[in-house]
Amino acid sequence: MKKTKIIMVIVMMVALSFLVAADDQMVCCEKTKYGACQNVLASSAETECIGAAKLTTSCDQTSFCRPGTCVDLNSGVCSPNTPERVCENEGGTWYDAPRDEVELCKRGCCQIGTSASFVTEADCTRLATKYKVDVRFRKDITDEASCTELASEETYGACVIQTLSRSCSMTTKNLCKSARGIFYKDLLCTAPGLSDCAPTSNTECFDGDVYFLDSCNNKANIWDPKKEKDVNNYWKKVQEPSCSGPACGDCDYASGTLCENKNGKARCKDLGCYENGKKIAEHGESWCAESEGTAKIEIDLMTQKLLGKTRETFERGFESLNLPGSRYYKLTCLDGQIIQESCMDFRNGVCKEGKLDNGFKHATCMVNTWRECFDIENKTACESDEKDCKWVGGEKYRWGYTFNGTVYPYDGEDLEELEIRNQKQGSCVPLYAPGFDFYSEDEVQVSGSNSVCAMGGVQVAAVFETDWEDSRTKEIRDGSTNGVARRCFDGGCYAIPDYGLSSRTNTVKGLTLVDRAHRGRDAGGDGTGLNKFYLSERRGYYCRDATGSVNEWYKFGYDGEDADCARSKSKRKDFPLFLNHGLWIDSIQERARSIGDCGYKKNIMDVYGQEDSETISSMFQKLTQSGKVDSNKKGLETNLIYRGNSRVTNEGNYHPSGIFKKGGETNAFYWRAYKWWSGLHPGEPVNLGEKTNFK
Amino acid sequence: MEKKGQVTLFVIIAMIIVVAGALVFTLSGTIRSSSDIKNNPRLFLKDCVEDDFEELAYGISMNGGSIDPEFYHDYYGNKVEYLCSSSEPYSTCVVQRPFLEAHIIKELEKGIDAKVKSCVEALELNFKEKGFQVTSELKGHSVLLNPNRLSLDVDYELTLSKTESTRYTDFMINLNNNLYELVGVARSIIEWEALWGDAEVSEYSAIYQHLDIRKNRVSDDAKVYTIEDKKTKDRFQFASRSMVFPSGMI
Repeated sequence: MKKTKIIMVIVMMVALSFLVAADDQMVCCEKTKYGACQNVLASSAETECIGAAKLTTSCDQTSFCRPGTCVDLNSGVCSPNTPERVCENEGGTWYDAPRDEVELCKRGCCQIGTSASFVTEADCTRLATKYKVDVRFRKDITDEASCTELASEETYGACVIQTLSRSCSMTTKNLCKSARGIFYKDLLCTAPGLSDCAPTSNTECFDGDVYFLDSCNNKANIWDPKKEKDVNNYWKKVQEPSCSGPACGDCDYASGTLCENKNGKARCKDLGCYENGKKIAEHGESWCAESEGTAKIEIDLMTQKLLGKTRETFERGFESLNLPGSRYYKLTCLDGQIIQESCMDFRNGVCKEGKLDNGFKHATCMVNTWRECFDIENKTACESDEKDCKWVGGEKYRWGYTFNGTVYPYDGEDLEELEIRNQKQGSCVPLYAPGFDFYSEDEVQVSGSNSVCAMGGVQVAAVFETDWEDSRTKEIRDGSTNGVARRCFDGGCYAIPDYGLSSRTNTVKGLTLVDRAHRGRDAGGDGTGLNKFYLSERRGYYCRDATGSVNEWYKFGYDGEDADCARSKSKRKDFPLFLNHGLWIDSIQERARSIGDCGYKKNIMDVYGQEDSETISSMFQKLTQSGKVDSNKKGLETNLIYRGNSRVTNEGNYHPSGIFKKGGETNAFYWRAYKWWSGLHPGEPVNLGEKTNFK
Repeated sequence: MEKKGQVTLFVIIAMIIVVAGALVFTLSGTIRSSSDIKNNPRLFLKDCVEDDFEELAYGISMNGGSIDPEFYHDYYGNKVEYLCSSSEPYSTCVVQRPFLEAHIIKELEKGIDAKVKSCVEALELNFKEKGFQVTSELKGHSVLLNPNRLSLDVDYELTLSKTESTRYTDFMINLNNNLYELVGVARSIIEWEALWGDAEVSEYSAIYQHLDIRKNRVSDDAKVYTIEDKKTKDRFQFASRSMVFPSGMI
């Protein structure tokens, strides 16, 4: 009895949908509930635009809503990124240029008396007119912080007004002049012979520091107990403080002290944060909160690189971290209070924390750049420090990418460079899985979430080629496709060596069988020929034509989950990614759960979602001899194999189909197993169309 | 025994005198103060307008600069106006109030208009009832936003005549309010939001140490910024919606 050389071929294919609505057109609405001149997605324009006024183009393409710089020519106030219409409604003049390019809008430091404002020159002039004071505009100061530092730089000293008694006050030269006093630059009112004011031990807060007060209640120098009696020097001239520590009035807000007047005594108060009397943070320190379903992201503040085991923690923590409902928070100690700041919801923002050399902690809510991960094509780029991504080796080369009709572009090729396989066979996924608003009433939001979860679905097609003598009714022994599906799933298929075995440890046996089969031997060692195996187009996953036994390959370092025979260039065929079904499913599961709130996953309350969010089913289709999907009128047959985290034990979930009982046209049919992770909606099977080049 | 009783009596009488004295002093102060207001046009107008002006300024500050904003986020019962907003995902907001100070001044002027008019009417009636002949002209009023001070300058000329005529001008009502500075900081935050998307409040806290500046993420992907003077507790709050990252891929 003649038999076909290969009785079954399993072709594994991956099909997926990359459903991103990024191409959705923008519509410019005159108004939405958030404001005027707003771009909205065309798909949501009907609900978001208020009133009929909308244009089917983005606002920056319109003649009235395009953003530019709005200038109030009277005051010199400039407003960037302002729509033309909004500007004109407010009486401004609109320029089609960024603010920095509008000459009128170049800002500098406007010094008015002892205060300073970072404004335009016109604004500065307006202030001068308004307050009838002299101002000084400094074009060379180009940032707000430097400008505020310039405040209070005016000449300061004692101002003596000659009356019956010589009254004295500490003020600026200009103010003294306007009070018709005699100004003594840099002298204190307590300077010998200047006035009747005398030194005291009284203190008061001024501008955050502790100052001595003289008997006329004038501010003297910074409180320094060691110099309290230094009448001839410290009570004579305005001086910079030279003291430090608790017995010093030179408080420093940046360092965490500020003047506080308590029971009539002013002293520097520690602004640090305390809990049960214990200091937990310095003033100004910030750190990331420990919230449910998150972990600390520690970074080097200079390079932004992840530190310690942070990457590892998140790479492995796809089931325990970034759970549905979790959110990152930043905490800051300010003025003795801990202030909470939420990072962007749905984990679009994550909190990253680092330390300065002196141990001072600094945290920032940063954008989680998870969307970028899907565009990254190789492992090195994916795992680079600049990206919040991780690499999951396994199914799919990129997302839905096909090469010459197959999604495993390197299968069957002799690859000299092992790195190519390592670099490209896998998926780049978010390191911090984002959250989704899957419960929203907004259809756009729900569809945006579902489209990401849909990317985690996998469809694998396998072709069984049966012995020409065998009827398919024999293959499908009891008319149930369940049997075939489960048999392939549990054992027997070796699309990946030992792929079909449920045991992860029994891989050597699987490889032995493969090896024997490929050398044309009795594969099973018990008289079982190659015809008893289901072979795969993915034959590259083992070392074809390798000499020696699998046991010898083992010596090259094969450790049970890493068929390392490929390390030898002469024997390398390709690098195996999975050795059994368990690892394959683990990989798909990790990938799906890493891309967001997808799959059968618990939330921060330790409650799992619906089991139907993760299912594996098989589906049978009849093929023509050329491998194309036949236009079989009997339709499809699906069987549920996995749901949630466990096998479906009910075997009755099938519908015997006539297609397997018919003889005739073809001996081949597809077996498709797909996992669908998109929450509550199992996915529609994708018609594979063209068959790959199986033999 | 008699002596002891006398002493007690003196003590009681002394106490009565002290209490009565205190009462007379307090009441006379009140009476004098109330009387001053009724007799002084400037004090009358100030007393009549001040509370409403303060309340109006507070309301506008809590609403992001408008009495009744069109585009707002409901934040603890306040209609907090979006001063910069974007409905488009991943894009910076466009400014909705390019001249915030000027807008607030307009709102204050508009909001206090009716009260100024009614107070002027009440003032004139008060003096007419006192037998004065009243000649007046209310030209308008303007609000001035100054450092640490919010002023209402009522452009009003009043002449009161009985035996002799007295002319009053300079009707100014001043509030100790630091709205000027709070709005300046708000403007700077809005610019940050419009240009880069998400203002870092710790930067502002470091510069403006006397202000408590906070960012509160609220629903609708919006943020409500609150700027409070630590000392005076004057507060200004506004909403922004910039660089919105939706859930999922949109």
